[in-house]
Amino acid sequence: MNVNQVAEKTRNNQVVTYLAISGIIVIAMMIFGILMLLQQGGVINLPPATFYQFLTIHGTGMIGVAALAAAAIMWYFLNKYVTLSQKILRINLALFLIGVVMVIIGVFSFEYASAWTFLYPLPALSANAWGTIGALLYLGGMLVLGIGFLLFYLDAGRAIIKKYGSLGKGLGWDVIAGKKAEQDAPPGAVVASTMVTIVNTTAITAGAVVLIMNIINVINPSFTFDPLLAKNLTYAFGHIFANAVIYMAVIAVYEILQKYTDRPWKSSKSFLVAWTMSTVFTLIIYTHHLLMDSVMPKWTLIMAQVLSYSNGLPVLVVTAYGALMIVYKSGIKWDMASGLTYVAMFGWVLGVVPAIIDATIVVNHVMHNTKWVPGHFHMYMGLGALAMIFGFMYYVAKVECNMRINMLDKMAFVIYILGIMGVSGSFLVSGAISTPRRWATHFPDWIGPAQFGAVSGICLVMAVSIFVWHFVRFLMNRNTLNAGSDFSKKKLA
Amino acid sequence: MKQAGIGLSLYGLLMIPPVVHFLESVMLFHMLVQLPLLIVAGWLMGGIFIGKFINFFTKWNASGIPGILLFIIITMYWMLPRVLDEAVSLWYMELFKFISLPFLAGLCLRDSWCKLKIVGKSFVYLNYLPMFGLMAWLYIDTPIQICNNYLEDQQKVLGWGFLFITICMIIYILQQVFSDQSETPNH
Amino acid sequence: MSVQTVAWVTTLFFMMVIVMVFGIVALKSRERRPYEPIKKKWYEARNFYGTALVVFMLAVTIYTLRELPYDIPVYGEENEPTVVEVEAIQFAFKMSKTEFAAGEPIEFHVTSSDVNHGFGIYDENMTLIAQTQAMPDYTNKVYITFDKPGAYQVLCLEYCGLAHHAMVQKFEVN
Repeated sequence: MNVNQVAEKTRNNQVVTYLAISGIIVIAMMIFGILMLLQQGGVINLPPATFYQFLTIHGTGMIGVAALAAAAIMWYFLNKYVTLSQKILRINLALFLIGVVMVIIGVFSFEYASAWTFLYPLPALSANAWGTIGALLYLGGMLVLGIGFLLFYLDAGRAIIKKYGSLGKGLGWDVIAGKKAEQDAPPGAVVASTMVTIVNTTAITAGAVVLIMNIINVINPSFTFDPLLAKNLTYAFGHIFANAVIYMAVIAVYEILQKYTDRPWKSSKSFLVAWTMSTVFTLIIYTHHLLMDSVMPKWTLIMAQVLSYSNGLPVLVVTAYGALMIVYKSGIKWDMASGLTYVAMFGWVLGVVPAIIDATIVVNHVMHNTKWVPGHFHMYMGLGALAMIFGFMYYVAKVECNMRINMLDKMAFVIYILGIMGVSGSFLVSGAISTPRRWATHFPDWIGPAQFGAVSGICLVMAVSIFVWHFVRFLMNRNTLNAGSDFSKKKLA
Repeated sequence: MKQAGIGLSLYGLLMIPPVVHFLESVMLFHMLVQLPLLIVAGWLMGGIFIGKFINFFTKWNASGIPGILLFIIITMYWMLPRVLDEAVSLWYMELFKFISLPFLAGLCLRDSWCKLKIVGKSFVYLNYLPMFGLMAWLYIDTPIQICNNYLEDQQKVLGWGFLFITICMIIYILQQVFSDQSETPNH
Repeated sequence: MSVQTVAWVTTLFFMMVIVMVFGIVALKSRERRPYEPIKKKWYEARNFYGTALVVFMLAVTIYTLRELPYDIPVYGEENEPTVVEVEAIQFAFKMSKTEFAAGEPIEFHVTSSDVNHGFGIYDENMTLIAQTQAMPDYTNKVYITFDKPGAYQVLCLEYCGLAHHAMVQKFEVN
């Protein structure tokens, strides 16, 4: 290995650590998911408290870990264009782990179960199911997590501004305005990172307000707040932060498909306009979570539908279309990395359909908070974002250690797609037959799809374990390759 | 030393009893005029102290982080409504206010702010942003009178004051990140 | 046909289209052709596809926004609606009236005395026919007229604590 390669490798150490931790947490969270489906399907018998603790940990954990892995993707590629701080990457991981430990203790030792939404005033008013300490641990843990991510995005923002001049230029506004030539436009990785920096800094700020507000209310219930504003802030935070995962992870699609097809994926004007649209829409469409609050001003709810429809356009017309165009008759070499990223784009577009349908007010009137909602986002996060993350894991393993793929991986690929389609599909069917979301027990009519979902979930977790196992094998190889060099002391996860 | 002089006179001015009385009679002035001015006075006077005890500061506040943490803790403390109330009623709280804000908060801020890197500065800024927003919400929304010395109306006015500051902070950060930073000589 | 069925069929249809498109592109990915001509052709196609999509979405938007559940229905002279006060508490619904006549216009005024709850009305086939959120400090309204007599149920549709799934209230339409 030459000096550059060694330097590159140490730089990637942390990215690899992020991914390894994420892979393992994803498996754990999937198991909680399966247990919940088994419970709803009447196969096992959990006490409601346990079920809702699983619900809380599954929701919080999945979004947190997906954001963590996606941040690793963003860092890995963005760092090729701008200079990012390794120290802050490390601090983010440390704070993430501290936050996770706090959340886990809060949920399992102190029986805190407010679901990830922690809708005010539920953390303080649990009908004696949990106490102050549990609530404080959970809310505090989320705050710590938020601090880590805030630092991460601040560093990204700083680096982008330093290189490109401003966040507007990071989004390529000067190219859109015609002041700069199209070929000098910032690459997709930078545009996407700028977008995520903007939206997630906003999300975390909103989240901080509502978290601290809940903390104040838990400590001293005589301080009361406006529950509608609290709800707005909660969904602004949650929607944006969850949504941003895919916008970070999609960077892997841009970079990997370019390489595998040997075709350039340049930032054209329409590409830049699409990303600016995504930035704006992602910030303001969270109100589609409040369509069933008729006390909201009516125009905000109508805008919620209109903007949610519009938010599909950048994906459908530019990003996914670009992915299809770059693959079409390209002679692409299919392997796990390219296959998973392609499937991820497919999953994303697929997830957009039920999302847009549910954002229609008349549909939302009979679909909101049914299992239709998890149906759509399991498709979009499970087959979309997660496939990007696993594809990236295979990519890193290939680039660094030239890891080979065996039959098992290929089988896992197929099982993964079928598994997550089964899970999402069962949720969508449940939603179509009006099964409410977040119910510990189901009426007999609703049990079938839940059981089917659980079985699919078990297949899914097996496939994902094979993915992670491949990555672990890569880590072991990586360590042996490193042995003897000065960098062998730097332990991986 | 001219700066320190200004700081000292500002400090003196703030301590004149009629000024104290006037500022503390209105909750908004108390929280959003008197307290910040005390910090400003501390900042201005701070130069001398930091120069005198340069070794101490380089040793204990090399990265700027301990200092800014102290600053955050003290300012957060003084944002609690009850503390404001106590400052009016209890002489030792008043004394603590006149000491802690300039000589701990103001001084630490001055020493730390220039030592902090851009990420650290933005982080502190983005912590105060939601904090002020939350204060605005708390004071506007609370249906009860929190302080003995201030009426509910005063609370609401203070809330709007916080909201105003929050909005200004948002506008400032927006223009900061969206205006071009690469051609710094022009700005 | 219920709204759910329409939503489900529409979703399946578009999902099939997407499966086909991604499948065809994947099948055609192995052969290698120069990129420039493909790009030119695809960009032209995109103009058409993009415009079609926008027009389609616009049409659907206008169509689906004609009548909204928030709109107060126009009541006839002698047909004043029955107002039902609903108060959700952990873990029950208090309703000022639980027997209604078919064809009677009803307004549910829904609020909560503790945390957020959901107020979802299910018909006899356990199909969700209307809902709103039950929030402390606010009153959300549901305007509804039951056409069919039968036993209806209200289910909580917002997670509200450990007995969330037990929050069920029955009412009759005669």
